[in-house]
Amino acid sequence: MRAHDYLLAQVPPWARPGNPMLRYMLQREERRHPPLIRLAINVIGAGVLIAVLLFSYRMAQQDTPLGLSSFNGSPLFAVLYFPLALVQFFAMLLAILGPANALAIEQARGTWETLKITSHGGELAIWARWAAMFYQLRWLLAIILVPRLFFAGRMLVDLTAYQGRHLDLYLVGITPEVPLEAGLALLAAGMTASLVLPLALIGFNAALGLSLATVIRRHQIASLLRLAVVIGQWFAFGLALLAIDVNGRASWYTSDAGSWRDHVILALAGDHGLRLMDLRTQFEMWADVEYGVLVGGLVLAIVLALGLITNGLLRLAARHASLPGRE
Amino acid sequence: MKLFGWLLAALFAVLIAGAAGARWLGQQGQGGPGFPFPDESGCWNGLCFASLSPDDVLAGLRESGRVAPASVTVVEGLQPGGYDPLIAFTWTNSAERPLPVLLYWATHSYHLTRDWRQDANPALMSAGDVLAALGPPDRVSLLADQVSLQYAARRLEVLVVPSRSYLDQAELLPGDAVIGLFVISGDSPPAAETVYYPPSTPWQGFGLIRFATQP
Repeated sequence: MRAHDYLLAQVPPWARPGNPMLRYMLQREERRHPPLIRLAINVIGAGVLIAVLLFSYRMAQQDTPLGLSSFNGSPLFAVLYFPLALVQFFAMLLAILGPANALAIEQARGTWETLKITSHGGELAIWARWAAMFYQLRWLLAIILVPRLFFAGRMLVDLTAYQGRHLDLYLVGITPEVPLEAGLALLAAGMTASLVLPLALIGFNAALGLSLATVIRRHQIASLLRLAVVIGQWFAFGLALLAIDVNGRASWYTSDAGSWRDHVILALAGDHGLRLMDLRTQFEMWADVEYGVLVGGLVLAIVLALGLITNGLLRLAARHASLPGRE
Repeated sequence: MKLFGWLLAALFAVLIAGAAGARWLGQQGQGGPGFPFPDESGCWNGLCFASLSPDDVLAGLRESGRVAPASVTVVEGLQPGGYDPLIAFTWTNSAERPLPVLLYWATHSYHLTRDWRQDANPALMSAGDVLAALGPPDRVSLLADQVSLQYAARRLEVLVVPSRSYLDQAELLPGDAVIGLFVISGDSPPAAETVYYPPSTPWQGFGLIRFATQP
């Protein structure tokens, strides 16, 4: 109980489950659709996910795993990779559209102005709306994060191979040369980045959606901009998967393994971060890509930067939400 | 943001500790590949083939505690030219499944290979086991579709089937199968002058190995 209280104390007041504004928003969202509709949405969502999983399983059985051509790692990873990347991307889209739409509904109903006249009401509403999004997506987040935790554990188990020298074997002959301690830290940095990247991207998208909704006064223009962001992310996601696929299907001896910059961009655009949660794939990148060993550390730095940008966007949205005269 | 920073730092610390712990556990828990390497003097499992007759080799294998005595047989009709009879035996290792092996030798050299008569037979070990036990090889050669790891001081050549190979390049990974060990005994000229066939290259690490420089 003490541990629970201590952990809860670390969470900002507006993100605690007992916060009245957060509770109000979650209950309001729940009441937006009748229980039957919500059940139908959940059943359809689960059905689609199971269908994608079965299709991915079938493709992996035929040695052509979805989104992972020329992959020789764990069979379970081959099956789960594409469905998980898809769920992650779906969650990112919900994050950019959901909170902003909810804000628009509040404004349309006229409850937004009532909220604003309370002390710091507008600011708190933005922060609480952002936190509510994580509560609302909790099941999707569980689907995304639990397999990643499993893959992280699997990577640690794989590290025990070759008399515990699996990491040492791949540190010989790579560019740049790194000592063992740095290799361990870079591997851990890559794993940390891959584990946290979904949360960082989802949080960033939600903050971006909220800031667009509050900073831009014309609803239509804000909606169009959000749509443009969604299309851009779709494009980047598809392009990244295609790049991985085409690179894998090309003759291995003529295809280039890409530069470290390509791998950093792929990690952010196509959820390539998940792909690096297979130890063999990560180590092959270290061996074949110059400066590939640094990719994990760079992605972790970008995750940290995403956190800072998200914080900045939320502050911006909160400041604009408190300004008088918004419709 | 503060919470996010703490979460990142805590996860990073846990994973560094986890990775270091996994590496340590691997070093404590595993005693190396199940199949033994030839020793520094060029003998294998106590058998110095250059000074033994075929009957002595058969008897020596049957007396070895790790060889199934009933499995030691002379394989008729398969002796490579210039070598003594080819002997088949099964190496038993409690940790892994039995390993069928073929052995043939001449005055100055001997070969231990996986029993290639059945495709399902396992490899002797993996390339990662070799590197973990013996360290980086002095040179690496590409021999058709096989890669040879050469340890000059041990007069040992390890034959590996790489993950992929094409013309002058191969992709070698730790999990790749070792299919043969080839030893030149101490009586012969040094291995450094006899077993390096082109194209060869110094050890570059695992991954893509190019055996020739780009034009």
